[in-house]
Amino acid sequence: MSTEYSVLRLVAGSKFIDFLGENFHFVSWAPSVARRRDTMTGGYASYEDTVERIRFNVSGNTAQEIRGLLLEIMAMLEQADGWALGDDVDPVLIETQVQGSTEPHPLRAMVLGRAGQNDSLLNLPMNFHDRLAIFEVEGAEIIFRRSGLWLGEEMKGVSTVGTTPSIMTVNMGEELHSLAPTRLAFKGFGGSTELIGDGFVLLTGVPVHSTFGANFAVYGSGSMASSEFSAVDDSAKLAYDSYVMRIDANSYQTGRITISGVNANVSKLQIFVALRNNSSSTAWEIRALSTGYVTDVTGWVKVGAEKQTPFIRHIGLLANQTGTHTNIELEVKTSESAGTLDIGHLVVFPLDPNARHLILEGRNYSDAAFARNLVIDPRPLTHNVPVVYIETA
Amino acid sequence: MPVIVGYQGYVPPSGSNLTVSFNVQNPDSIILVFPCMQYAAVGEISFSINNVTIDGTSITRRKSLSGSSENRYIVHELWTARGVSPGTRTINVNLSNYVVDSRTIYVVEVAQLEGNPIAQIVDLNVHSKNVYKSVNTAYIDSLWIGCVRVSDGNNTLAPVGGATELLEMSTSSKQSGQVTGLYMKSGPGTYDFGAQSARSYSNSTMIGIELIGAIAPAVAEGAPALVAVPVYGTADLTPEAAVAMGEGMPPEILLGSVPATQVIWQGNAYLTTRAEVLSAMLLATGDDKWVLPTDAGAPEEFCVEISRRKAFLIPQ
Repeated sequence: MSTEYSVLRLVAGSKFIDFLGENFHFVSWAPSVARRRDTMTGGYASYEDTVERIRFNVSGNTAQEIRGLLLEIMAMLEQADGWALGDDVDPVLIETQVQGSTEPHPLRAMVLGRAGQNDSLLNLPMNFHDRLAIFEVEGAEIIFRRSGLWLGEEMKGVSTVGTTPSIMTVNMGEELHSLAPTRLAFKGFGGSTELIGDGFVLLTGVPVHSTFGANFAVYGSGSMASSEFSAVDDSAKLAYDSYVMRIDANSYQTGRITISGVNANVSKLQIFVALRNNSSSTAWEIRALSTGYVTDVTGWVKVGAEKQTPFIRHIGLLANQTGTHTNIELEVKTSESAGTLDIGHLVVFPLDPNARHLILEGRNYSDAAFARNLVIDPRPLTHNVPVVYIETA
Repeated sequence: MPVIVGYQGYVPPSGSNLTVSFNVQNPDSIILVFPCMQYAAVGEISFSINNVTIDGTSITRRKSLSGSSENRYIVHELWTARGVSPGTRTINVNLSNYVVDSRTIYVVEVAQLEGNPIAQIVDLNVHSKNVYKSVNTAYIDSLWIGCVRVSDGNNTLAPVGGATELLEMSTSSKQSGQVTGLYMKSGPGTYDFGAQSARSYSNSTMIGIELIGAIAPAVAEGAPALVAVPVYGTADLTPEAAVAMGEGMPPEILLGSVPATQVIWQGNAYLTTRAEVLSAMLLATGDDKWVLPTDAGAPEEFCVEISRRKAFLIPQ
């Protein structure tokens, strides 16, 4: 028996195959190391699945017992294969821990069945018939695909309380070497709060503050300057700075808003804007610009006249290879000569390897009158797809 | 579905520290510890359980029953722990009095749980031979674990109603001792849960705990069309109204009793991070407001909880 691992086993619910146990004897295993996934559409995790081969011996008191043990391990791998194909069975995990590990629990990865379409899950040795007769089969081997990361102890942090569109910061206690599946739970919605209008979930690891300004920030009318837009009191509708910036197509068919001194020191920014088209017939277009020493511009985004209540629009990506963004501007245009457009607030969202944004479709998810949480859960050890859901608190 | 992966009854030697060994198998399971103690002496000398630890770490007391009569003093409790590492663990029950003369400790490990698995805890403390209680649950994946103790060591306990299954039973060697039993029942319904003895002295007690598995939202890829459908009564159903309507609801609305509602989204919801400090934002509007409002029209207040497992590319 190896002394290098204190745990090496396959687990499915309450069943397990222990390679360091009485009947299965671990012989050798060269753990494979996953590589970064190079497509965002071909899977969910940041690392590719990888293939493992574990060689082991099986011993027992009778040949029948050994055949039964081999059937057990085969059944568990078949279960993993079936789970990956969509069967309604428990997932199978591989758990391991090396001797002297500082991790409090064994690390776990999902077993995803056969390595390739035509590959076997279990290989038996050429002298299987001889070894069976002496109740010990040497050199059996399992080959399977597993999820790329080994997952361990769960770390958790909670932000202070805020309102939309607050930036909520959480210290996770330590930086990890690899991109790890991350679960978000927005907590504390009242039982009578209608969830939600239009929404985005934003997550980044970029520090909120830059050297001379902000990387991640919300800007309201108080930070906006314009010759064509004017400030209008909309505190009754909970405008971010109490006022919104309004342009009237009767006077201006084009207009520009400037937010000076953003001074974000990241290369890539996403721009999100809270808008309200007060006309049911006039459509507008909007784009964002990064200005200063160099200029970068997003494409035009249409603002339709379908609704006259506030909503969030993703304007686009501003990429500046110098690594800084001095000012952010918004430009709007319309071909009509009537109707007004309001800008409530603008969010500058910096990108790094941790950054992701998610669109939540606006509708009332509030059928139950209980306090609720909004959860974005990757479910890396239980399911093969993530899910976004609202649960009772 | 919660699954019992191990259970054991122990009768440790007398002392202030009652120590038992239990082999934990699953790091994500819940460990239930039921100490059942009786001190039979003229004058009904009281005692208590100071603490229960697993490998020196204190665990959580969920329920405590005690009482005295017929020259006996009894203590019956339920303690629980989560996240106990697999392996042989030492469970220690620390008593305020070392002369407790009937000592049984049941330990149960239940796996296949997520989040908070405790749906409800019921208890009974009566001077009767009938030590069972009507319980109800709407959970499909419900598992009841119960521990009964009766002050009469010469008798046995019999499960009631055909619903409860006996896992383990222990009787004290002393005539004045106690008989204890560990029971289970799985699945939804309304039924009598517990046991009865031929006779009893002093207080008879029962503690039952209902464990549930994950409240699993429907699995679908991308943006499936699954709309909110709470299934247990209307959204404004009060506990009293539910009982009056004969909905079969328990007398309190249980946390997590409403199925999760899947939100329709676009994008890759498999968020991955490695930074020490993360910043999140819910950027949303509601009704005719620029922010997400309460129904009273004020900005809704909330926080974000971020959790992630430590991740490695090579075994540790």
